[in-house]
Amino acid sequence: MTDQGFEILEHTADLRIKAWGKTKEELFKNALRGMAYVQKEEARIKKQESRITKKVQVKSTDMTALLIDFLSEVLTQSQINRVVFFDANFKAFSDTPSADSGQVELEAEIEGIKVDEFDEDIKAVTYHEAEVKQNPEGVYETKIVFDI
Amino acid sequence: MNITKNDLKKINDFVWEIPKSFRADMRAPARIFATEKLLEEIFRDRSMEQLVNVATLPGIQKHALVMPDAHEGYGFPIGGVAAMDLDEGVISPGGIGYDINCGVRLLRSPVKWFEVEDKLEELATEIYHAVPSGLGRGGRLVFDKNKFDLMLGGGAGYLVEEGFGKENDVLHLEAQGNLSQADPSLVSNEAKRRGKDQLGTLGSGNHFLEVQRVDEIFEETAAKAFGLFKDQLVILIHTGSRGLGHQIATDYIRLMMSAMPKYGIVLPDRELACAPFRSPEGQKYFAAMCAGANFAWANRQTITHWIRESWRKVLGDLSGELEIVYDVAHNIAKIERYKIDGKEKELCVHRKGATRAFGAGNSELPDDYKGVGQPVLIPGSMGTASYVLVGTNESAGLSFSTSCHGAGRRMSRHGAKKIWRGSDLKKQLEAQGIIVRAGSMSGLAEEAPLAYKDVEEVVGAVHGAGLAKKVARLKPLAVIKG
Repeated sequence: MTDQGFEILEHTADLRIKAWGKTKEELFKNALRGMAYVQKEEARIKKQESRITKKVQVKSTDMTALLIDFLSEVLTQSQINRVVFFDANFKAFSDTPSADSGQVELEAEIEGIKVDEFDEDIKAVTYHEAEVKQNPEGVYETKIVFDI
Repeated sequence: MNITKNDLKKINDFVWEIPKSFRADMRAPARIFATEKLLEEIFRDRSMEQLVNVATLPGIQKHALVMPDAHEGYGFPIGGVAAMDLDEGVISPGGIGYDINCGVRLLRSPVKWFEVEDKLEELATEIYHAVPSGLGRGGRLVFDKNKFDLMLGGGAGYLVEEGFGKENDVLHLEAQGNLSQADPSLVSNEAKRRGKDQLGTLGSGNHFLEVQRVDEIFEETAAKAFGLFKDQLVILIHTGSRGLGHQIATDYIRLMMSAMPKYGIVLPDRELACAPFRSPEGQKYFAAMCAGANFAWANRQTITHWIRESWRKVLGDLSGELEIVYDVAHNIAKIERYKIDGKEKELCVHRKGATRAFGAGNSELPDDYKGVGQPVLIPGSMGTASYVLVGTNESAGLSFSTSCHGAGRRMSRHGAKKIWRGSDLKKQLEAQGIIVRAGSMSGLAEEAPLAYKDVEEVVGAVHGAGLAKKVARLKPLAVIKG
């Protein structure tokens, strides 16, 4: 495994990545970086340019759905605003279902840069094959398939 | 449980069956339309397992089906078809896909290609500039909120009303380019914002425009009815509902995932998320999906209008008008009538990477095609052959009147990019005399012809199985991509 926290895997028609992190928050960040890399390979290099920040709030049934729904929300914002978001700061991150809603949730500030054009027009983040789990080394990981 | 060829029962040279007994959760057997050679290719990825998963959906009728161009998707395999009982069955956004009404439209000209050979470069350049990819700058046509909703409700016909086409254009579109069940108020603001400046844009991935020539006619009567003749110049448009459709699918898959426990539905893959067709969630998704489909028809109508403008600009009035042969959806759910156990009933037919193929006499067909059947448009991989087929009446019983939708990928985009460079591919295509106008060289490499199955074999299987019959083969003169 490389230290960037994600790698691109094979898939016949779409795009499959694997992302990992020592904590769930780190996994979420690395998955976000993986998506940004697919959208615009050099987005991270241009970090010095003026950044755009957005707040996102997501509630889901479980940790895997929370990750996919989080990435979907970022993708929606990315497509509407033509911004590649490559970083996230979590203001809240509850990984046990809340007593009243029974859902897990997060609140984050995502950071990105405006782009003239995407390299890859990601249509959607799918739940297909996604499963957040800890490997024997205690690292959280999952595969994610993007529809492109 | 891994599926092997030994688990399949051979029905005939083109049809194979996975019996219902293969897995305890199957509610129907599964059928694969393929030659033995294509079957080998289909086994190389997880399409078969995904097909078995489709067979577990509540209310599925007869068989879960997959077409010869099958390959791995998510939830449904690409090429998957499932018809559901309206009362007992479900509707699954994953059975339609994120690109709602991704589809193909074919335009015909009155000229032979060599009569305008010296103008082809200019025509390709003109079309490339007239039809933006939409990956960067937005499209040229932006409607205000009110008009945008009217377009979602009216599809291609609304664009014609707005001056983007001729009155009789809609006669030659599947569903006349408008699903009347569409409800724009059930499409989220996010979806509308994503689609706001995307009318008349091509997108990326496998979407493309091709200027083509009719290379061979196989069936004269149908070709004549469709207005096709040898050496004719035609133009193929392949695109869908862009960000609007993608967001509708995203929104409703999420809604259905949270609704499934309420209906006691348990599935082997989250991407099959579904709700009973008659439930509030099912009805809302269906109405939103119809609006997404209408956007795609409006998109292809807008692109048609700009291609016609390019045509007139480059060739003047002497080369006549471009007319629509037909327009088909590849990713859609439709309410259609079929005989089940001798009784005719309405079903919700999911087609994901598959094309409707009505035979002669079907009441939805325009008068000029009623005698022969529906044109079925099969885009090949970039730079290879595309096909026009005609639907058969036999296919109603075999495949819920469904045919394949393309060549079908056999290699990943990532894998293709590792092997081929876009610039080399461009040279290869140009060496074959094909003009290339592409915004992205890596996008070009992803669509390398060898990353796809052999379209001849796929179309041969469809023809052999009787799902649709060959009418004409089209060869590219110019490829235009985002």
